[in-house]
Amino acid sequence: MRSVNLINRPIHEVLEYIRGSPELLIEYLYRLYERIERYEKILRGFITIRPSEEVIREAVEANREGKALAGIPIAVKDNISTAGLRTTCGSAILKDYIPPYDATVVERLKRAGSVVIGKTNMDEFAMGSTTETSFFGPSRNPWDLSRVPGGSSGGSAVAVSAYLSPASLGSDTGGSVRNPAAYTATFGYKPTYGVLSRYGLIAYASSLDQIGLITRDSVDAALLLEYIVGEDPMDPTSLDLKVSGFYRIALNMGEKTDFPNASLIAIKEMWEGVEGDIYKVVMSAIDKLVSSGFSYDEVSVPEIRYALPAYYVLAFAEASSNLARYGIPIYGLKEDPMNLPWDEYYSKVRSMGFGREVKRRIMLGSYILSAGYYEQYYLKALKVRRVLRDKLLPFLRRGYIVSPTMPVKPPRLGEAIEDPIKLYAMDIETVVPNLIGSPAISVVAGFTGSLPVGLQIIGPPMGDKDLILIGRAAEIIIGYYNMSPQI
Amino acid sequence: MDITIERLERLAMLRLGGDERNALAKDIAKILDFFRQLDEVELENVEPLFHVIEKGATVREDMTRPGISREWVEGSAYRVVDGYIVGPRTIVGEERESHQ
Amino acid sequence: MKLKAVIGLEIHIQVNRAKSKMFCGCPANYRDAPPNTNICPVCLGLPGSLPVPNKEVIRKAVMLSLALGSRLNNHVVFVRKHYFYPDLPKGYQISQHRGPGMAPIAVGGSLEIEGDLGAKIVRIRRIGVEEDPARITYPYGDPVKSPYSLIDYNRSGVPLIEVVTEPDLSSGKEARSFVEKLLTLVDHLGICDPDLEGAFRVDVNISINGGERVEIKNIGSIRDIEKAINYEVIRQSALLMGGGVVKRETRHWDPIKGVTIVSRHKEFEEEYRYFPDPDLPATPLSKEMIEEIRISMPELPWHRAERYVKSYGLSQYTAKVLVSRKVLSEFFEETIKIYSDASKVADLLINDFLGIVNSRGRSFNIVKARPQHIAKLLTMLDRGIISIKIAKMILERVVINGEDPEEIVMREGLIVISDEAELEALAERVIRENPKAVEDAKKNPKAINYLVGQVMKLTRGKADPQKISYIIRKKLGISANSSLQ
Repeated sequence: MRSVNLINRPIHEVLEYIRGSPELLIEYLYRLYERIERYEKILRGFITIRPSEEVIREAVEANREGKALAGIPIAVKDNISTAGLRTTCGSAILKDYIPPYDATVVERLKRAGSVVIGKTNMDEFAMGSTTETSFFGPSRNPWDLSRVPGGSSGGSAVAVSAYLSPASLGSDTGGSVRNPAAYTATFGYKPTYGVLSRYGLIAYASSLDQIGLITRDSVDAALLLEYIVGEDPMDPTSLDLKVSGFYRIALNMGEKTDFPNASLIAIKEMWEGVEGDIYKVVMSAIDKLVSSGFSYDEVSVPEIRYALPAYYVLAFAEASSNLARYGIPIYGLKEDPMNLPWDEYYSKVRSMGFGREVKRRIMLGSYILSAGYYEQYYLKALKVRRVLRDKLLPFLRRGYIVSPTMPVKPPRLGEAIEDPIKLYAMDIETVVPNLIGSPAISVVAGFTGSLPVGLQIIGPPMGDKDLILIGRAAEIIIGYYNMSPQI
Repeated sequence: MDITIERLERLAMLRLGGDERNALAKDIAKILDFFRQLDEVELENVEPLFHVIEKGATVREDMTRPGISREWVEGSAYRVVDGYIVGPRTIVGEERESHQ
Repeated sequence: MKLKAVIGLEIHIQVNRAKSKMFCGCPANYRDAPPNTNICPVCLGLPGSLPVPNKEVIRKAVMLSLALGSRLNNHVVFVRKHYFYPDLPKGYQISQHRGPGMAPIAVGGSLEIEGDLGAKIVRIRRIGVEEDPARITYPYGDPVKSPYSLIDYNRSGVPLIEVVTEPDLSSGKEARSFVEKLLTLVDHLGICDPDLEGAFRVDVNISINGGERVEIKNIGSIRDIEKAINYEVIRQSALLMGGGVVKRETRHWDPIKGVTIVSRHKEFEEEYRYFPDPDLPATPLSKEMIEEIRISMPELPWHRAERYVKSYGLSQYTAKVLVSRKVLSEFFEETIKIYSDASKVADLLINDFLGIVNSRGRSFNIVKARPQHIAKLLTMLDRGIISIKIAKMILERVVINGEDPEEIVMREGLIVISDEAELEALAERVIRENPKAVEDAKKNPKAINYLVGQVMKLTRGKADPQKISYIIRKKLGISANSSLQ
């Protein structure tokens, strides 16, 4: 029996081999678990890893049944519900929570024949940009072990970049999929708001959250998307995006393809505060695209400067509401309720179970929503949101907005989280698409030293397919995709 | 600053320790200043955009579907007595009663 | 001291005629389910769950708003109302509210009642849709004595429609009339069966002579509404007359002791932090949709009552009782299709029939009788086949067991005895066996009734009492014109 090293290959290549070949699948999975065994101690990308016997058994069954994804494993961010499998949100308050149901996206992947290999590390309740607020400790960037992998879906990005899993589900509220994708040289995709069902995604900010994908390349994202899109009757905000056939287009794009003559638009204000090294790498990537026929334009939208405070006002407010349920003695961290008055019980459990950043956001969020301040902060932020959407949609109708995904290099562990404003400022590029509901991707622009740099491309609402295809074109032209760090 | 940490604790149902409170007080002032940047924008005639989904929430037909079993609850809750979930007392705590 | 009470009501009506809960597919009717068996991730508020609104409940709320003449909003907007309490699994209740970006489903409108001083228009402030919290019970029956609470989430998420009035009511009696009329309306609109346990809860806001407002929360029966208000008026007036001051507070009604007591539960300081639910973008409520709902609206109870008065010549009172329950009025209409004397049907239904239902817990679920049964019963009476006494005797079996009255009469030989010879024989026997009564009857004609009664006893009600009375009087030589009965 020939042995093929499928490690480091994207899913679309792995599938060629393992379809109808359970033996190759088993070998592949063993190698994955070997890598996990070897690297997990340092990288700490996972919070929970399923036992290999279970995963292999399920994968082989899916493979033998001829399911489309043939037993391909997937890592799932730990704020996405998996039935019977611990789901912690990176928090002490849910460290023993075992959901009775699967998120719709997880259910759809399982039905297509994929198998959940484990739950990945994340900032607590997705509140953070570096995965350092996790109750379970931080993850490390495989490209530089002294640095963060980004966040809040840091573990998902670690798993894919270090090839502990060929792909991951993450979540993105203000950049949490694109940020770690950029920092780990992987492909990150945040859908149009509503395109992927939120049922089972443990909410941080309901009007901004979306499940996203972190993959080895854009073709894998196109492939997986086919199995998980579609309106969900369990999600009142879900939309219907039709994607059949578009994976084939992405797959067949090659060096010789005539790329669509797309317009790239840079909004000056989004580039303010970008570090010199990052700027150079991203501009040189854009130069390559322009040389291949893309047009490039710079415009000014001064209101962009208010995207960050508007985003944080909305995120904090909605988070304070979404986290009001924790403390209830049905699940999660619990105490003996006997003899305790309910307000003492709740404050005790919540104070014990939530970390500092979460507490800060909940308290400020409650304040924003309280009487007298609702107009002052929350309504104002919603108005800024409308202004931004009205200003940006015309650009998105004629082209794609480009920027560095992150304004700075991945910070060293411990560096970023002391100063809250400094931490929040990392999101300056990525919050814009969440606010206006647009899809966005991060592709590898290049490297500064050995550190990955991401190029963010934003598309119009419901334009996810074309956006991923543009991403594929960019990958091919710029030349960096399916990258592997030396760990 | 007209808000107190105590009030924020009550709204968020949290109780912070001494160190946490001090750190938080500093952070809050900074963050509120950061938020107040929003005052610089001209928003007089702008309608708030409550949601990017314009068509509204999807609704459902009045039909039943299976739920989850009580077994899950019994396995997950702190204590279950005769099928009821045991919760704390519903009388307000004496300590809290003295606030406002 | 002249006392002027100003009363407003907040009525929470459970949409127990819906099949499923407000935001999930769990059954809306939880009454027979053991605790915590009627649950799912949504109504338990599990992390990651999302609410999906029940279209039918929204329709019904629109219908109610139209019936009350309220102004409908052009969107359905849900808000989150935050408070921490063990019965609220998400830490907030999905509800409706008036504020920037938020509006209840309808505002305004009114309902006319028979007030203390004549007809009175009671204005509606707003109508809203929301979800019911879970149920809390206590191991020792009392929150103060119990060291813990017992929570059952079966009820969590059941749809509620809230109707809030302006403070236009002036007495317990008026408040009761209002709630009764509103319940009849929601019964006819197919929203709520008011006789099911927990079908409605009322919060009363009352202030006397412009003083502070007292809220009495969670009154669950019509009678208690009137009693609680009457008690509270007395309590407050006594306080005022003694030179005291009424405090603004929340109280609960204790139906056993018959008093209102200050609430020991935390008052949530009205810091509800209302904001539009970001999981539920505002859904447009188009004019076409509203028109379609208006056209499909069932007949309103007061229109139905008017129709009964006009078409069947029933009295206002009779019509009102018939429409007090939709199922009763439907039963009436079905019966008169078969048996045309509307007055007789109405009479039987609002008296004996309703009496049987009310004596067994008021729910029409126990009624097994069908309209043809009632029709047959009345027909047999008309033809003199059975006596009124027999009819009343078998009615209960007809109603509760659904037994066919003709079959009962045949099987048990309950046909009226009208054979002259037989009656003569019976009369003679009774006269023979009761000499003392006969003596009494000769002196006082009214005592004939005793003898008639003896015949009825002997025949188990089958004898025709009129005929027997006549025969006995003839035999005793008493004039038929003496005042009897």
